[in-house]
Amino acid sequence: MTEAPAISARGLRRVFGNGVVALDDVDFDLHRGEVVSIVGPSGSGKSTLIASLNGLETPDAGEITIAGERIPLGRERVWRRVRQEVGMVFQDYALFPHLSVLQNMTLAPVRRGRMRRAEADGLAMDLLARVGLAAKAHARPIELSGGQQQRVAIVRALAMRPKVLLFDEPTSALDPETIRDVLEVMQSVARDGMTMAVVTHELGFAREIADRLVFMADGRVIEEGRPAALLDNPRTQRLADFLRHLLHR
Amino acid sequence: MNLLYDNRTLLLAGLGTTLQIAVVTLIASIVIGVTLGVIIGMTEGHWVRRPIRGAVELLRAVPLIVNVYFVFFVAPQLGIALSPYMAAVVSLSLWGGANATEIVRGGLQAVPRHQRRSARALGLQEWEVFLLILLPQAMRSVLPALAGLMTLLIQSTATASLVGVPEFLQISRLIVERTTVMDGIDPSFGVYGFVLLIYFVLCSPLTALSRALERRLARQAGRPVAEDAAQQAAALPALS
Amino acid sequence: MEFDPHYLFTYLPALMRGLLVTIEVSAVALVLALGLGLAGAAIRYLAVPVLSPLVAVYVEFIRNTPLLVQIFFVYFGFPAVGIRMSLFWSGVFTLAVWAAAFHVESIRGACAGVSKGLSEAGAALGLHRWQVLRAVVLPMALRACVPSLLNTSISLVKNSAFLQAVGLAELTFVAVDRISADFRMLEMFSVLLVIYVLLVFLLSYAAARIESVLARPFRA
Repeated sequence: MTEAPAISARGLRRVFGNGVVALDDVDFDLHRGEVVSIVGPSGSGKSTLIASLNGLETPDAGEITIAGERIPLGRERVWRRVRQEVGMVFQDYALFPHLSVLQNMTLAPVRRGRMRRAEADGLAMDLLARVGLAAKAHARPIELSGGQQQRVAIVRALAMRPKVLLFDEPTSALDPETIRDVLEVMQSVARDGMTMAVVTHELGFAREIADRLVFMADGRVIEEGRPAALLDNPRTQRLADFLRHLLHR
Repeated sequence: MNLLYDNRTLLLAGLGTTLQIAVVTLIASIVIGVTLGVIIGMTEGHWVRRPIRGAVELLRAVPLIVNVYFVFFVAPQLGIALSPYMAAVVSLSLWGGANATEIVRGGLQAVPRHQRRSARALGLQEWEVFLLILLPQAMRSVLPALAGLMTLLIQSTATASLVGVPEFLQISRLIVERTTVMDGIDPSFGVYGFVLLIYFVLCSPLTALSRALERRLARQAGRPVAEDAAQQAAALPALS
Repeated sequence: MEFDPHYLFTYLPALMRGLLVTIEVSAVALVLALGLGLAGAAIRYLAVPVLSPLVAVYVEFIRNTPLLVQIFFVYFGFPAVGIRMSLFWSGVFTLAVWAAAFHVESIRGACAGVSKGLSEAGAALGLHRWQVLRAVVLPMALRACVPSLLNTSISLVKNSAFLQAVGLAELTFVAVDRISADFRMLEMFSVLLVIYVLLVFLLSYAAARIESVLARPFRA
């Protein structure tokens, strides 16, 4: 009855050249339609974990299965195909500065042959309208604020019609006022049923939108469970300390 | 001065040779530079980078004069008959190519890493990432620097006079020597001053073009211009 | 064409003498260039009337004309109008004037890059513009442009080879002279290559060390 998880990772290990252990035997599952929030102190391995899920980082060991299909680690061609189904939004939005907003969004879908130009334009405009940025379609990224750029980055990823969307600290580089706008977009994407894994410091998002919270430190998963449960009653000292630090900022 | 006017055909011929050499070496330099620069820029960690980078560093570490003499003297030893003109063209092209390679490599490296990462995250292939995302952004610093290289190449053609190529400087030297010997007066100040003036007239539009390009391209991408100016100032002197 | 070490050892002293000349000319020119560059940059920064546009023209002129022609102009042209200098000093002069033009641009650019806030703070304390320059802007700017200054200096050392065209017995001159006489180019060019590469590496290494020493106060 239970279908295969959208993404399933087992025994991920990654040690960097300078001896830092980024991932230490990490297991991670992401189910269809689920929204998982990953939190932890810096250096906990959460960015490495999420980047491993679309092949931008290659673990030294472990297994990753996407929609039931085992993806060999380090096989770039196969991962490239995976990335059409698993999109990613980064902390520094990274829009292409020499292209207009619209071109940013239609570049990948058209080049990957997923749709023709006209169809891609139409979808892009719809998505932009959805986040209130239709008027900026022909502007260059430099003309947009940080929050606007991040919203474009999100719909740029959505323009590929992915099955899963990964987020690596999407709001960390934004002003407090604009964080809310971006979180609202993420919320609406979640409500549409998108499968999401979000690395974030925004505990409010975790509490209200996420179905599951994962707490990582030192390359391992320390606790996971329902957000409210973990945030209100941390079972480990590590999580309790982390929460105290975060909330006292 | 009368002297210059009397010798105008000779001087014009010399100038023509100078420009010819400059254009040929520029084309050769760009071809070499783009090819090698792209190879170096796109093959991270590949063994093929090291010998190429080594050769480029070697060509740039050695003074241009030594380069020119090297080709001029060594080629016949290797059985290749090279006229002074060809020797100059070959050595200047190698030197210009080495500098162009640095320019292209630097330009590619200056593109922020996250551009490549987010392009890959969208599922684009390596060559697509390179052609559509990295290269256009690299052009921002590469094009102005190439305009600057053209200026340097025009100036370096003067080095060809040292192996006897009848370009502008060499012709002027001959005129000075002949006048000194035959007429007893030394026109060095005027003649060489004139030569400087002509080079100035040739090169300053290119320098202005380079600056204008840099400003315009930087504005398009919205990056601050100041850091590029400092980078430019740092890049050009090293090209000697 | 085999490598003849004996030939090399015979002429090594002559080559070393040539190297010494190269180093002498370069060292003096280097120091002069930095002084001139600093003065020129200050004049431009302070927008001194009359002098500032003159410096601007000078910089443009030097950067758009070949060093080789500048050398000819100074060594042959100056005496023709009564200015006499020894070969050595004419070489030093030309190299210094050449490098200084680049220094002016580097330093000026770095000064402009120093945040406005700092120079405004200095002015608010009642300091003259040139006092602000000396005490506030220059110390910060110099650190920023040290890489460019060192790069230009390394180029200066390499370009000293151009002086052989007017007969200065520096390294390249000695080597090429020998080659024209004996045609043993393998030995000569190997030595030239090795010496110049070593020189550039040494200078680059020294430059890197200088940069890191200067950057120390700014590191956490």
